[in-house]
Amino acid sequence: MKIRRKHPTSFEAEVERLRCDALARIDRIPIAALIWGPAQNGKTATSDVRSRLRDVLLKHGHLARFSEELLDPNSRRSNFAQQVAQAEAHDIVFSIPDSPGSIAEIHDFARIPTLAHKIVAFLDRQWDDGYSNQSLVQMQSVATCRIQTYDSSHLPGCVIDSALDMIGKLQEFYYIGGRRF
Amino acid sequence: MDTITILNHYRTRLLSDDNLVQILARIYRDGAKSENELSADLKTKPIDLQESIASLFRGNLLRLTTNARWITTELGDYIMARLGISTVTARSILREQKIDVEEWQFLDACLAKTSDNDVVWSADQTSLLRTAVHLMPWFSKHKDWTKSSRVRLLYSTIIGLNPYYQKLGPSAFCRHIVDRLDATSPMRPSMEYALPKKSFRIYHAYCTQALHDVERSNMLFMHGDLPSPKDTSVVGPLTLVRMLSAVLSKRCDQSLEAASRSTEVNYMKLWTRLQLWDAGVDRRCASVLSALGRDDEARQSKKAGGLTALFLNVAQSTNPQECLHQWISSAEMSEDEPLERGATTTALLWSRALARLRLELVSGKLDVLPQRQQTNLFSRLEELSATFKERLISPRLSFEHPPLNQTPRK
Repeated sequence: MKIRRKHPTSFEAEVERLRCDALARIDRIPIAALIWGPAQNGKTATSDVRSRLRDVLLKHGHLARFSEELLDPNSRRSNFAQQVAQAEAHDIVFSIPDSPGSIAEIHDFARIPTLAHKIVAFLDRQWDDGYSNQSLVQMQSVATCRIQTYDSSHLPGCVIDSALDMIGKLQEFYYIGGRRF
Repeated sequence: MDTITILNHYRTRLLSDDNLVQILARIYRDGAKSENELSADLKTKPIDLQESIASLFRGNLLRLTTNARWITTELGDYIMARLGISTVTARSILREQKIDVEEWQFLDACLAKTSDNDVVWSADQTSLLRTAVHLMPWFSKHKDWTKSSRVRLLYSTIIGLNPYYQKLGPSAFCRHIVDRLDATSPMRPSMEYALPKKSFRIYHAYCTQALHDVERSNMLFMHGDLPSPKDTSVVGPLTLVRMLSAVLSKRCDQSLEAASRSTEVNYMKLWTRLQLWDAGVDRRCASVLSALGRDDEARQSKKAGGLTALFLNVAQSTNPQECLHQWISSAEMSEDEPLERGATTTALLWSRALARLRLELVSGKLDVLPQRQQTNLFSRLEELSATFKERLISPRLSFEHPPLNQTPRK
C-alpha cells in the first residue's frame, strides 16, 4: 500500500527528487545479454520467446545477441570455446532450451566456475521428471547457474518479465556500484 | 562479475519503490526507530509499513536491534551515500541547528558540494555531523561551552575534517565556496544564496580555526593531553565526536586514521583525559549509541574505558602486520604501568590483542613473515600471556586462543 504524503517535508521531497534522478540515470545503463535457445527457423513457442526477449531488451537500450550470430565459422577455435568467450564477455546469459537434449547442453556450461555464475536457465516444468531438469535444479547453489522453472501456458510473459526484472536489478546494482552510462 | 550472486543478494529493487526509499532515508537520518515511531513520522498506519519493512529486511537493507527497532545495515548506509541521500541528511541535520543564517549558508554550501561519487567522505561527513548533534545537548551543559563553541564544532566537523579542504587549504577552499554563493561571481550556479563580499574574511578565519582545532584534536588523540587549557571547550568534544563517529561508521576519518597509525597512542591516558573533562563520558556515548540502535556497543561502552576499547576495534581493522608492532610495543610498555582504575580496559585490550595475534599466527595469516620471525613471535606471545595472567585482575576474562601446545604452521 502506498504511503500517502499530502504535504511532504523538505527532506522527503529532496529524497524523492534524488530517487527520481537516480532512476532516470539507471534506465540509461545498458546490460549486455546473451540469449541461448532454439534456432529462429524452428517456429516453436520457445524460439518465439527468444526473439521477443531480444527485441524487448534492444528496445530498452540493452545489448542482446544470439550466440549463432557471433560464431565465426572460420575461427580455429571450437564452437564451445567461442561460446565460452561470448558468455564471458556479456553481463548475463539467458538460456531458454526447448528440449531435454538442449537442457543437457546447459550442463556443459553450468559446471564451469567462470561461466556458471552468469547463466540463468529457464526450464519448462513439463520436463521436471527428467534427469536434466532435476539435476540442474538440485545442483543449484551460489556456485552454479540459476534455474527458473515455468509453466509453458504462461509464455512468453513468465520468461520476459522475469528477465526484465533481473536486468532491472543489475542496472540498479551497477549504478550503486558506480557505473554511470 | 558474479551476476548470479548479485541477483541472489540484491533482492529488493529499492529505487523503484518510493516508499522503501523514504523509510530507509528516515531511519538513516534519525537513527533506530520502531514501527510505531516510523508510522508517526510518515503519517501512516503501522500495518501499511510492515510489508515495506519486510521487503527492506529481506533485501539486507534494514536489520532489527534488540529493542525491536530498525536500523540501516552497512549496505543500506552505502546505498544512501551513493544516492546522495547522506548529503541531504547532513543538510537536514544542519538546518535544525540554532546558528546564525550566514554561518548556516556557508556550511550548507560546503555540504552541498559533496558529490554523490565521493561515497566515503559523504558517509563520514554525515556520521560525524550526526554524532556531533547527538552529543551537543550534553556539551552545552559544560561551563566553558558557548555559542561560539557550537559554531566552531560544526566548522571543524564539516570543514576541518574534509579531506579536500585539508588539501586545498583555507584560502582556495573558502574562495571556491564563497564564489558559489557570491551574487556577482560568474561561477555562481543559482540564485539560491546572496552573500556580501566582506564575509569572505570572516569565513576564512572560521575555516582556519577549524583546521587548528582538528590539529589540536589530533595532538590530544596522539599524546593524551592538550597544549593549552583553553582548548578544552572544543578540542575535547571534537575528539570525542571523531572517536564515537568511528565506532558508529566503523571507519576513522582520514586524519584520525593517520594519527592512530603514526604513533603508539596511549589510550589509557586519552581516556583519563576525557574523563577529567567529564566523568560521565562513557555513559553519554552509550546513550548516543543506544539512540542510534547500536545496543551491543552501547552495553560495552558503559564499562570503564569502553569507548576506547570499541574505537580500538575499528582502528585495528588494518593489515595485521601493521598492527603487530603497535600491539607488541603497547603491551610491553603497559607491563610496568600500575594497574589501577582502568585495569579492566588494559586487561581487555591485552586479551583481545593477544588472542587475535595468536589466532592469526596459528591459522597461517601471518605467513608473510619469515619462519624464524613467526617462531620468535609465538614465543613472545606465550611469554606475554604468562605475564598478563599474573597481573590479571578479573579472573572471569577468558582467552580466545588455541591451546598453548599448538605451534605455527610450517
